[in-house]
Formats: sequence, structure tokens, C-alpha cells
Amino acid sequence: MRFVDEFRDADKAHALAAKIAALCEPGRQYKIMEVCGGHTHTIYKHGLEDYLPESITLVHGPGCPVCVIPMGRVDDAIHLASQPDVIMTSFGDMMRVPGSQGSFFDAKAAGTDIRMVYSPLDSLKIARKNPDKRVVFMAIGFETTAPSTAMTVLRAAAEGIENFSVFCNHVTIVPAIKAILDSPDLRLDGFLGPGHVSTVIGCRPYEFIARDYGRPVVVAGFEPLDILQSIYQLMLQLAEGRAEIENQYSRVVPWNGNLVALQAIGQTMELRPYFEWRGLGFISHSALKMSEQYAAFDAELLFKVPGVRVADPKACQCGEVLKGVLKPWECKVFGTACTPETPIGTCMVSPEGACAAYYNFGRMNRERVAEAAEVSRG
Amino acid sequence: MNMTGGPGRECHGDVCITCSDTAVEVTVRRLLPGGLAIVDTGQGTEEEVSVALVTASPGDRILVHAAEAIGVVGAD
Repeated sequence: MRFVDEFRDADKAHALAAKIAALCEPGRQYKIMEVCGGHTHTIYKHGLEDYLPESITLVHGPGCPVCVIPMGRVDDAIHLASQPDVIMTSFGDMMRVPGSQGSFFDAKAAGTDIRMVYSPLDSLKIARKNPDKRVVFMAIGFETTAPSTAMTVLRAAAEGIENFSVFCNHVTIVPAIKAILDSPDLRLDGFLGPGHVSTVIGCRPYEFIARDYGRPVVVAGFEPLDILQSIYQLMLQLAEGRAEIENQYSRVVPWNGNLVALQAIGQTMELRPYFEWRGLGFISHSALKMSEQYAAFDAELLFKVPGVRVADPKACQCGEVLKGVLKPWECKVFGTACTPETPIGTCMVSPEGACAAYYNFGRMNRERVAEAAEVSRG
Repeated sequence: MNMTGGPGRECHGDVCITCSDTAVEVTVRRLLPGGLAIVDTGQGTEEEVSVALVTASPGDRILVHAAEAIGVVGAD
């Protein structure tokens, strides 16, 4: 298959692995964060860690849209969905994210009208078909997904559809990366930049990482060879003492992004002063809400949203996993109380979540799980 | 993998691509009015997506996320 097979060639992967190993300085440990959950998924699906020398640790970043949604927003959404004549629509993985009183699935089982859709456009279709109902779209995701929501709102406005609104939870990746860079917990050597977010925002927004923090970034594609090639480029920069922004995924990512998509986002949405991220806390200017011009489509203005803040379950260590401080299997409840079937934390919900990726592809180190259990028993 | 689906359809991929931050590559078959297009998913199915944010013609490979094309492969 074009654009797939040539990026999964095992011989080329081994050749790249050898080049990466040759760049490792003896005695030095390297920590590279893959920001995007899609990368985490590829790394575990294809066992890419096994290609890397032990001195390179891949740290899984916060770029899983479902994983960063705090419990309070799920509770708010369920409250919204329970209002008279409301049909709540949501992406599939969101259905299983636990709130403090249960998930969307639990609410649906109790009779709340929550429907799974594959796109905001599908949500708009439901609004067209049900003019006597108020259809709300639970919008989640980074800059990859925001254009779809923005375009749907523009279509709704153009068509004069008044029974459609958005419960906006779109987040932006750069403030999260900055929060991680400012976190005292973690020292990272470089970043694999998110491929598809960058299709929209381009590569320029990462320049501060090289300029102010002296860390290299390579925007990476999603096939196994894309990731190995990007790690090689990062290692080469580190070996040569450079910190630059490079675009490995140039077949898809334009350096300046998609200006039409950015314009659509800018027209329909604006930055929130702050937003709560699961495990990372409140980060300023890190999320989007509907703009004043499109306030008629803002579910938070059309309905009373309680805006409750719920602390994460005590046993759950998603925050540490999202920051890359803990490996998923080092969490006390990983694979025992918390599984993809009965997730306690969001990282176990989406297949892009680091915990689910470890769980599904058998990457857990049972010895360390046993050690962690021993420690937690105290 | 069901790319855009529709109400009531099932997702058969190992990642829910609409929840994930990963877009999928598809081929434009024909353009429709209103900034829409029919695309070939490469899985033997055709889907309707929005191409309002890109400049794409039939035969182009586009990157689609949540039924919205966000990029054209090989355009830059």
C-alpha cells in the first residue's frame, strides 16, 4: 500500500536503529518525549522500544485528547445531557471516560440521550433531523480536531441551524508542552513533535522550545520508520550540540500549517484564560471556547453548566503518567483495578492513552509491576 | 477501519480515529457542492467528508480527521 509499506520496512528499521545506537554517548541517558498519543500507539503496536538502545527512554506525553479531560468536565457534560430535550453527541472513546458519577455510557444506560458520532458533521445531521431537540456536540481534541468543529459551526451558522451547539473542550498542545518543560519533575532531552496537530498549526509554534529551552524538536509521522527516523534526527542534533525544529513529516506537514483551518478556528473560537487538564492542573491559555461572534453555538452559555471541579481518584496516577514521570505499569492500579474494560483513569480509556497502549500490546514489565505492588503494600 | 462512519455505524479500527489525534489518508473521488467530497477510504468504502479547508481535486490524497480534510499529502 502506497505511503504505508515503504514506512514499515524491517531492514530499514534495523539500519536506522544501528545509526541511532552509534550516536549514543557512553554513559549518557536520553529521555525523549513523544508528545502525541498517536505516536505512543505506534511505538507499542510495532514494539519500537525494542529497536532502541537501553540508554534511550521514550516518555509518553499528554497528547491524547481523551486522557487530558478532567472528571469535572465529564460531570458537566452529563449534567448538560440531562437537560430537557437535549441530545448529547460525542466521539466513541469519550463515552467510557469516567466522571465522578459514572461515564456517558452509564448515563445513557440510565436513560439520558447521549449518542456516539464520528464527526461534528454527524452531530449537525442529528440536529437537522430533530428540529424540536437541542443537539449538543461534546468537542474534544487538539488542533487536529478543532478545524472540524470550527467548520461545522460555520456550516450551522450558514444554514441557520439554531438547535445545534458545542460544549467546547478543545485544547492546544503548545501550553501543555511548556507546562511540562517548566515542570521540576522531569528532564527531557528532546521532543517528537505531533504530526497531525502540526498539519494545522505548522512548525513555527515549537520554535520557543529550541530557543528558550535549548531542546530539539522533530515533527514526526506515524509510521514506524517515521518515528525511528525522527529519533535518529533528534539524536544527531544532540550529538552535534544543536537544538532546532526539524520537520520529518514534510510529506504532510507544511512549515506554516493550514492557514485556512487556523482562520476557521480563529473565527469561531477564542482562547480561554485557563483550563484544567487532567493530571497537569490549570494551564493558562491552553484551551478554546466559542468566540463572542459565535456565542449562539456555545452550550456553556445556552445552558447552565455547574462547572464543578472533581479531584482525580486517589489511586489513579494519570497525572504522573501524562507528565512522563511514571511509566504506566508503575501506577498502583495498572492492570489490576484499572483496565481498558473498567478504567479508573483516562490514560486507560483511549487506545492512544499510554496505559491502554501498554496494556493492549503487552508492554508491561511484570517484574516492575510486582515491585510497584510491593511498594504500595508498604 | 471506519473513517468517518455515521450515526449507528461501528468503528472497527484498533484506535478510535475520531477520538485520537491521528488523521487518516484517503483519496478524493469527486467533489460535491458545499465544500464536501466523496472519498475512497482504501478499505473498499466511500465516505462523505468536508474539503472546505483544503484545495483538493479528484485523485488527490488528503488527510482527514473527524470528517474534515486538514491537509493534502505531498502538497508542500
